[in-house]
Parts: sequence; C-alpha cells; structure tokens
Amino acid sequence: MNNKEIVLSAIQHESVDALPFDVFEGWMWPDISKRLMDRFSARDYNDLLDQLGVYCRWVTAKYIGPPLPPGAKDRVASPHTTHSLNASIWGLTPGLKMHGVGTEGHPLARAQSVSDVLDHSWPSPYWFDYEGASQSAIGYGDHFVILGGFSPIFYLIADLCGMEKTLMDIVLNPELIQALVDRIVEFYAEYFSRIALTCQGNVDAIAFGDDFSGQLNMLLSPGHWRKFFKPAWSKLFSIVKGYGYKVMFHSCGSVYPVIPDLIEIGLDVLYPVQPLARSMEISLLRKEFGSSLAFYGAIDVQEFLPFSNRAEIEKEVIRVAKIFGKSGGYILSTSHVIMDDVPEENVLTLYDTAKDVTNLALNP
Amino acid sequence: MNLETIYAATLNGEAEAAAAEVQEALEEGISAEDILKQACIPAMIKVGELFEIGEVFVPEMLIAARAMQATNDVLRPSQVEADVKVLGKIVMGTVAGDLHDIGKNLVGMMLAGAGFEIIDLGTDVSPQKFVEAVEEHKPDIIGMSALLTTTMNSISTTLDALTQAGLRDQVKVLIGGAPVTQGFADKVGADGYAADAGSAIRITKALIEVT
Repeated sequence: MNNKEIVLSAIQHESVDALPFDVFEGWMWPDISKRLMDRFSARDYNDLLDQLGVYCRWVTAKYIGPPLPPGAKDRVASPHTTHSLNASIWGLTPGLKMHGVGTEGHPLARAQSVSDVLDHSWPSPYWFDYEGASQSAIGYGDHFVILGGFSPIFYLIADLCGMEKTLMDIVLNPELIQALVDRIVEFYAEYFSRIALTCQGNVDAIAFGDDFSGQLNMLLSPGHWRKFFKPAWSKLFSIVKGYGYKVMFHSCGSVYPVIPDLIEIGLDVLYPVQPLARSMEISLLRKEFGSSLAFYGAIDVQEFLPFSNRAEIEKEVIRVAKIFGKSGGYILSTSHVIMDDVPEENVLTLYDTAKDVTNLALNP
Repeated sequence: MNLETIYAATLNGEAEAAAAEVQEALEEGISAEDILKQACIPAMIKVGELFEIGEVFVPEMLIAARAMQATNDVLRPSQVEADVKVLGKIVMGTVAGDLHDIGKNLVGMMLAGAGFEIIDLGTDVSPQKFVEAVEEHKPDIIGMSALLTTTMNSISTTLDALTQAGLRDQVKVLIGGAPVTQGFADKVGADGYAADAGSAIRITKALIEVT
C-alpha cells in the first residue's frame, strides 16, 4: 500500500500495518524549517518532507486576483487563513508582529445591520487558481493530498468586527451575526464547489478550519455554536462529501462539547487533537468517538515536544500508537504547528519513532 | 422592585432593565453601597463562578459586565457621595511582544464588576511601562497576561524590572494566559495565577485578603 492508501485506510478504520503521520497542516515556522532543511541538506521544503517520510501533502488554490494592497504578503494567499499572508482578501489589514500572524483593525467594528454586511467588500471565487491546486495534487502522486487549512467563519467575523463585539452580538444582535455567517458561507460555498469539481480524483481530503475554543472551554456556548455555525459547516461539508472527499475539521482547544455535532454533519477526521485542552485526551476521545471519527494530532506542542528528551518522545509516540493499534482511526501529528522553540532533534525523534512504531506497537 | 431583580438583571446581562431597576431602588432610598454589595457585585461573582464551571461562556460574561457598567453609570453620582470604596486598584497589561488581549479584557471586566479599580495598559507592555505605572498609580496588584511560550519570559523580565526599581514588594503580581501554569507562577515568583477570568475574582480577593 502506498501513503495515500494507508492514510485512507486509517481514516476508514480499516486495518493498517503502519502508523501514518504528518507535519501539522504541512508547514512549520520559518526558523525550524530552515534548521531542518539544513540538517537534511534538503533541496526544498518538499524534499524535507520526503526525507522525514510524512504521508500527507497539503495544497491550496493560489490567489490570482487583483493586486493586493501594499504590506500584504503574497507568499500564499487563499481564503484558508486570516493570517497576514492573505487577510487582505477579506478587507483585513495584515498584522505586523509575531511572524505576521493576525490582523490589525476591524473594518466592520461599527456594523449593525444587514446592509452594513452587504456593503463590505467580499472576495470573489474567481480570484483563485483551482486548476493549479489540482495540478500540484497530481504532483504529489502517492501521498494523501489534503486541500485546505484555515477557512474560518466565527474567527473571521471576530477579525472583521472585533472579538468582543462579535461575542456580544451573538446575544444582542443575532440578525447581524446570521447575516455575516450567510455572506461568508455564500463565498465559501462557491469556492469549495469549484475546488471540489476541479480537484476530483487528485485531492483526497478537504480540510476546513475555524477557531472557537480556548484551553478550557468553548468561547461561545455549544447552543450558540449550533445555532449560527453548525448549519454553515453542515452545508460546506455536504458540498465536498458529495464529490467523495474526506472531510477534516480544525479548531484549537476544547471542542469536546460539539464533537457529536461534527460527526452528525459528516466529519471524517478531527484535526488536531490538542491533548492538554479540557476533555481532549486521546484515549478518552477514542473510547467515546473512535467508531465514528478518525483523529489527527495528539502530540502536544504546548508543553511536551519543545521540552522533552528522546526517550520521552519515543515513549509518547508508542503510547499513542498503542491506543489505536492496528485498527486505524489515527494519523500522528503534533497538536499544532511546529514552532521555532522545538529543537530539531525532537522533530527528528518524533518522525523516526513514528516510522519504526509498526514493529514496536502495532503488533498485539 | 427589590435587590433580587437587580441581581437577576445584572446576571442575565439585561443592561437597560438593570439600570432602570437601580434607578428605582435609589429613588426608594436604598443606598448605592447596598445595591452594589448586595446585588450587582454578587451577580458578577456568580457569573464568574458559572463561567468557571462551564455553564456560561464569554458572551454571557460580556453582557453581564455591560449590565454592571450600566448600573455603575446610574450609581456613580451616589457612590461619590457615599464614598463607596473600591476593593483595590489593579494595573493590567499583556506583556511585551504579545498582542492578545481578550483574556486580559475579560479579567479586567470581571474584576471591575466585582468592585476593583482597573487601569488597563493595553498590549505589548514593556517592563519599563509596568514599572512607571506602579510608580504613578500605586496599585495593590499588577495583572500580567501572556499567550505565547515565547512571550511568557516577559513576565520574568517585568518582575526583575520591578525588583530593580525597588517596587516588587509594594505590589502583588497575578499572572495568566494559555501557556501560564501554577508551576510557572511559582517558578518566577508571581503571587498568584488564574486559569480563567471566572476564577480571577476569587484569586484576586484572596491576594489582597479581602473577604
């Protein structure tokens, strides 16, 4: 079986002989990427991933729309994230600090009505190179190809309006929140439909993502999430499932209360599992949801990976692999992006152990 | 109208109702102090407790804080007259290099609702700016928030700056933020750690020994 087939088997809870693993969302922070590429004398980043042996590759539909304003980074521009790389497509100003993550200012800080929403400048689905995404997927051949990343609705509204205003409007101005959700979904539905149609047969999974949870609890109540956001995700999941893609979904933090809802609307893989967040411990998640859901992640980067030694990492990979054994349902990855505070030794140990774990853990 | 309806309106985030009830209560001769201490402040403390146990979430906290502010607007003239004392003065900020503020803002709102005076320095606050704020405002407590492991160290450098300025023992230091733990707080010599805005009230009061 090749990488693509192994990952698919894992997602479908079919027996696996190897533990599939990935670099979280396919990327790392720049300094750790460089250190690892130097260490491996890698020709380029994809060569590094080949040498690490990762099973998945992530692609995106590049931005090919009108020139972005000065200050907007053009490295990657897609609706997959409101990071400064491409915040501009939503009319957001990219942030200047912290590796360019985040945005500054809130263009809809004073929005009150539906017409305020409609007057805002929204992106066009014509601005993205769907065919290019499909072609790059073909280039990754044997790997399990995932298109997507961060395609927020809640978090995008928070960036547009301000986090506090958004959270208050959920109670005080629900019509405004609903109008924002509807307008955003109008774009995403068209965007993901074109992706689904164009990339069929080449891309294996579509990854959606939002952020609405903290370390301990969701930022908004499960009831509010079900009212405003569940129907939106249900619609988007259905679009791509109709074309046969596997569906992955991201939120940081403790999303436990709405995992049954995500399963109900067709989720295949929850990514990541952030194990230190409340109720997100992987063995408990497997016990409760493992028959209906596959998991991606579970190797903690908040406290564990940056600070552990070789023996501890090996032990943890084996521990987690044994929870799933040969029955699939798991793709190993870090719980979030590998940042610059992770020693390259620890990244190497993580993936080397994952490669070897077949002999160590998967035999009953 | 009684104090219970003010309590309920504040707790449920009904700002207009809470303000109207408070106005009525003042007209009936109930003191600002009684309204605050028996209705408004207990309502905010209750919201904090419900948040801690995951029964209410950030929207409910924000609208309760908004209702509390509405009652304060009505009470303020009477408070000044009655010289209702604040429980304590707190200078807050997100540390140098860090822009995240929702946690800090929530804590500030909860503590203001519970009867503290809050001076918010904003985000990306340098150690020097914290030192100057202590010199200027002479707070009882400094609250520091950090969201990243990379900015957590600013908590230590700020504590060092306070020590160097001879101010460390004049304030209690409360810290919080996603990567912050009790262990880290103990290690750097902070006086307190709160895991969320709900528990902040309880912990802050303990820090300045207010019952």
